[in-house]
Amino acid sequence: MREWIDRYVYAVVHRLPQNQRSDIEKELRGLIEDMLDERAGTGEKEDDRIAAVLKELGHPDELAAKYRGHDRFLIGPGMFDTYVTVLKVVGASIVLGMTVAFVIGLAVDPSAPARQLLDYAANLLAGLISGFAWVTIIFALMERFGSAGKAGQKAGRRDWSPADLPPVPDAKLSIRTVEPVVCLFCLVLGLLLFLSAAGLLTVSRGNAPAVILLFDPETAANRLLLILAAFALAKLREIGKLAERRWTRRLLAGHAVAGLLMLVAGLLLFADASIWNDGFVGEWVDAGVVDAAGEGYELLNGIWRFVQRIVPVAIVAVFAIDLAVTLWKFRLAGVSGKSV
Amino acid sequence: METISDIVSGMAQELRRGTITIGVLSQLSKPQYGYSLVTTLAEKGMEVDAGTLYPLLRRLEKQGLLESRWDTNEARPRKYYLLSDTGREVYARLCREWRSIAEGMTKLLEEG
Repeated sequence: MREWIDRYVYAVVHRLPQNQRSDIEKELRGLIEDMLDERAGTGEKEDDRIAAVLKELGHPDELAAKYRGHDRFLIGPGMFDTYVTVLKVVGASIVLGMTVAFVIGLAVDPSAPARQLLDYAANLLAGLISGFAWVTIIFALMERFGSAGKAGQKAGRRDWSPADLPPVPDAKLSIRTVEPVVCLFCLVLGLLLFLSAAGLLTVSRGNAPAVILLFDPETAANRLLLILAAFALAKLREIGKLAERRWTRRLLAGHAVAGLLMLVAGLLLFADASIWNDGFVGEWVDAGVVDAAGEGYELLNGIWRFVQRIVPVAIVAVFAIDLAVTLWKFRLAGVSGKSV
Repeated sequence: METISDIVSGMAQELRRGTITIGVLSQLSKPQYGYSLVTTLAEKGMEVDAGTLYPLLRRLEKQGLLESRWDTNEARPRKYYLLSDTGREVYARLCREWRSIAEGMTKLLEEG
């Protein structure tokens, strides 16, 4: 089977850099022919000779790895243990968050438990898949990003002195594992609450008492990408904290950038009043909780308008405080990162 | 459990691995193509797999120790490798290193 040679050569070169392929292919084919010639006098059948030669050259993956000169991986052995830990923590917080949301949902509206169980299973699966994807993407980026740094470190390792060792980080800069875990848990729950407050979760309502939505379902559906992006960024920040375990300048810079993007997403989301449920106050009246002519109505109306005004301000304020804290930590990280 | 001969063959392989480069450089003051190098090295007692040698030749070329050219006059096009000036210098220094290692080892082994 001459075709085996084609298959073998293809299997070796197709994963090598484009600019080396044709040269290596030509050389490899020449080598195989030379090795076949060497065995020409043995009286073996051609198929057997080809098989023997290719076996002698070794598995195509191994030969390709020798040509590349290094192994390739998405997440290297240096970070794999941390990767698995983070994966477990993220998975657990997703399961926990979803389960709590499911239990609350059941308690609020026990009319269709089978349907809710199905929704729960579907949400859980989707949540776990996206959690897995996010963690993997972050670690793959860190692997990529970090490898240049590691090569640089290696070169600098020859002339190091003990005085260059960074001091043990400030306790103010260490991150306890429980903090990002709790945050992740709250974020999962928060997203579910946000979506259900906009009527976007497929929770069967049946004959349950009227549900008064906080947000306008149509606008929220139009801005769904913004909502998901903001929550994804928030989760990303927590996963970064889990991976890094202490406030480094790199983590703080990423934290600040993600915060800025979340600010933009938040402001766009609440850019105008159309995100809020127009009929919010009216629905309370319809439900008979508030009397349209009474004091309660005025009060509710006032609170409702206040909330609408205060949310964008609160978003900016939270961002500003977070930024200030980040900058303070950044300075602290710089100071403790320097040699004394 | 590893048998004694397993352990020995593993360690001997480690020892030989380091000597392949210097062995290859020693044969390339005249141009040779990969497979002819496999044969000459084997004749002189150094068994190297083609699958190890070919990538090594390319790596040494990339490092600037070897020069190469394709010979397309023969029935089968072949890539010939030859020591570059840098390669010659590196080989000369490696030889000195090798001799001092060999001397040191001899002393260690004889004196015990």
